Amino acid sequence: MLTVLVIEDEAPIRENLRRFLRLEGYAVLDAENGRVGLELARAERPQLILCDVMMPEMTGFEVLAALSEDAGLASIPFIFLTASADRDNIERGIELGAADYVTKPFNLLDLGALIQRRLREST
Amino acid sequence: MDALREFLEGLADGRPMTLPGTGADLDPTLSRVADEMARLRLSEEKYRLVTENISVGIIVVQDGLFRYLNPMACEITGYTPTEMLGREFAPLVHPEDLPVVADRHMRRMRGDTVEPRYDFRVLRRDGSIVWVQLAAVPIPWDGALATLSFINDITDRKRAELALQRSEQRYRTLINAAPKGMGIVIVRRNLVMLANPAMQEILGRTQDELAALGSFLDVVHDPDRPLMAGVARVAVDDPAGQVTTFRVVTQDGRVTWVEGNSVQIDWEGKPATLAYIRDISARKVLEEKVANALAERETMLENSVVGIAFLNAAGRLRWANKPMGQIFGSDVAAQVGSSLEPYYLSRDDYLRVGGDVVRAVSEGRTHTEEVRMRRVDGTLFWVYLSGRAVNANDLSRGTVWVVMDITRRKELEEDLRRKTSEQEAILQSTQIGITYSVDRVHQWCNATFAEMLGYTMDELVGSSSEIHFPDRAAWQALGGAAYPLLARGEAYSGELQMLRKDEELIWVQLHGKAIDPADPERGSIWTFVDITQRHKAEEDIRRALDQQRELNELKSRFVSMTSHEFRTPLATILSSAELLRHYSDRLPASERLEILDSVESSVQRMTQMLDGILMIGRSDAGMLEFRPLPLAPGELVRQLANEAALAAGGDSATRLVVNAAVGLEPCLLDEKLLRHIVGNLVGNALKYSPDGGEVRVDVAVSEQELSITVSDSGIGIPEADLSRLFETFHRAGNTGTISGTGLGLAIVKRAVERHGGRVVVSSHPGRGTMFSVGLPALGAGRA
Repeated sequence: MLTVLVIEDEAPIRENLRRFLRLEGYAVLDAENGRVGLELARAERPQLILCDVMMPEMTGFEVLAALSEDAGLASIPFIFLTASADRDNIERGIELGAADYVTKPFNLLDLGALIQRRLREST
Repeated sequence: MDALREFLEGLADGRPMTLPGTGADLDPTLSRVADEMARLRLSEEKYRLVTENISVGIIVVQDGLFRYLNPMACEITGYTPTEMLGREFAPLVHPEDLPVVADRHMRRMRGDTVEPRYDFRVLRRDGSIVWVQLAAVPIPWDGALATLSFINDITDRKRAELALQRSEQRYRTLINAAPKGMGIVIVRRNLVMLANPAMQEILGRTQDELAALGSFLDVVHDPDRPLMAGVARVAVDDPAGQVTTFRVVTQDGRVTWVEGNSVQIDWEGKPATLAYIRDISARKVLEEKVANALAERETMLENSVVGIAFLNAAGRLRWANKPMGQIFGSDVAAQVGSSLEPYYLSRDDYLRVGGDVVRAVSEGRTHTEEVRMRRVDGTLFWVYLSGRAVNANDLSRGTVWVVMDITRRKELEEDLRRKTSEQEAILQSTQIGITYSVDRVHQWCNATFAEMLGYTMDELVGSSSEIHFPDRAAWQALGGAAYPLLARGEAYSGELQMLRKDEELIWVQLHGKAIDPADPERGSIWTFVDITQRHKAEEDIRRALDQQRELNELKSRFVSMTSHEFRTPLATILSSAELLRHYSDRLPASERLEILDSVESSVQRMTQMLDGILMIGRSDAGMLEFRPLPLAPGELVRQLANEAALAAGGDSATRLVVNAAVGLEPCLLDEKLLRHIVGNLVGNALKYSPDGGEVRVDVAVSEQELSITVSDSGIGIPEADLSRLFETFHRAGNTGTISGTGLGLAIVKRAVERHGGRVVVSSHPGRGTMFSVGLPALGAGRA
């Protein structure tokens, strides 16, 4: 079973994502901030990571930057979920090596298709 | 007598006669006697007549006694024949001559050769002395030898000879004793007879060289020769002579100026010219110099551009040069003896100037003045007069005046004065402050500059520009920046603050430039424009721009925050809706309820946020409603605090304690705004006290204000966040996962300020926070 790590500080969104991914057949790991998320990623080595950008303690950008430094983790497809529709932020995220940049509010089914595509590409 | 007759006949016959013992021819005296005898062919009687009438004295002496005298001999001696005959010859001879006469007589008697003629003096009967020349021959007389003598009275000749001898002696003495440098020459018929050493020196020729000249005129310089020839002729006619100046040429060709005069003298018995000559070449050179100097002075005076006039002590013209005529427009030089009064505008003018000059002259000063005068043709002109004594020690010698026509200068001065006053008027009326300074000291400034800095012009002139600066360093800084530029000929421009006399600071734009970069002593010109207003306007604009930028930033941040804060609940709502739509059958009922709850709370959150944003928007637009009513603060705050606690959720472990007395004096409060204040403060206190504890609300009313204090023992606020705590969307760094919009405290602040109150915060991170709100306690009863 493929594992998806969800890093999201906003609890209702985190919950909905967890519900959706489980219903879609994924194993789900979730973290309420970047620091915890990074620890989980290192420990569990998920097949894909969904990550919010604006979070306390450690932003999504910082998490991605940290993962990129780790050769074993750098290849994990990394999708940003963000409430910021700011063009600069999107560009920054792509530059850092994110696979996608999904703005909130997002369509769950579309997100699910995107996840499937990224997972296919990475295997 | 016979012997005499025979002798005389012999003479008359023309027989050659040799005087006995002499062998010499008859001398002229005897010849003359013989001539007379022969002409008369005398009888004996006639011999007697001859001897008695002949002009020659005849005597016969024998044995020393007179034997015969003719009448002429008696006349010469002054004795009668009777008195003389038989008397001795010797007593008649002058004692000084007697030895010679006696000696010759004796020798003649002896038959010796004796000079036939000689001169000696005879003592006349009246005691006077006559010179006689004697010619004697021995003759037989009455049978014995006797002497026949012929005598001529030569007294006159002798006297002339003596005089001549004496004068010659005098001339020689004079010539030899001539003063040094006085050349003396004696010339006869143009031949040099004698020249003294001084003359030889002057003429550069020796006595012999001079004597050898064909004519004394040869020493005269060619051009002067005709003149000297004339003088020589005059000199002959005029024994006194006259002083003549002429040039002589020396042997070696040198020309020398001499001055001389001459007198006619007898020299060796003949007329000659005695000339005195003095070398005046040195004097001549001096005279020429003086003449040249005088001529030069004359030329200078005449050709001077200034008029020069000499007035006598009575103020009458003695002399004027040509420029005087040009200046005064008439031939002033020809008006010698007249006064210059006609050229003055009035008699008063004339008298005043004259009086001033007299006063100045008597005090040894030179009087100068500029005065307007009138020409003969009526035109007016300005002159510069300078009058002083010709000789300060002798005022009777009058005054000398220097006069210059300064009409043109006066016109230029007037022109300049007019232009200057025009320029002054321009400089004074300009809105630009202008100052001229030397060595940073004001030499001149216009009224605008003085006014700009709150001084009078008089106060500024002579004072240092340092007084216009807030401190010495600022003054020196300007000097350091500006003066090197000025020295290079460049202009300095700048804007700086200057200090007015009233200590007010103004902004000026200044511009400085050196008058002559090579000569800093000549100073610099500075212009000043008061740009305080402009500066203030600029400052206002800058501040407005800053505010605008800040506002823009705020807006952009607001937009981005709003976007973020709205998108987050929207994401919850959308994802919840999808889950319910697509997976409803696979979700247990409890989860479906949870999902619906999250939709509701998201909507609530969005509504709250919207309210807050709207309120801030209204507040920023100055449109926040404020409708105060007299309300009992204790009851109201308690109620609002409880509402807030309820909204925060009852599950909290935190306890709310409200310490508000009932029945406090009513205050004028807007309930809506107070709800924002209390709701947010209490809500935050509960929200940021995750570990429980107590939230305390204290309410008190004093004379001045209603005080509401909300304190907690929560996480606290880091010091770094305190300053921006009340800004919109600002959330402290330690809020962690505790959700929030960042609007609450911004709303509190606006609501407090709308009441005219204030809110302060004190906090210790990890230990708790206390917000104190003070609202003006305008109680309804006191209002």
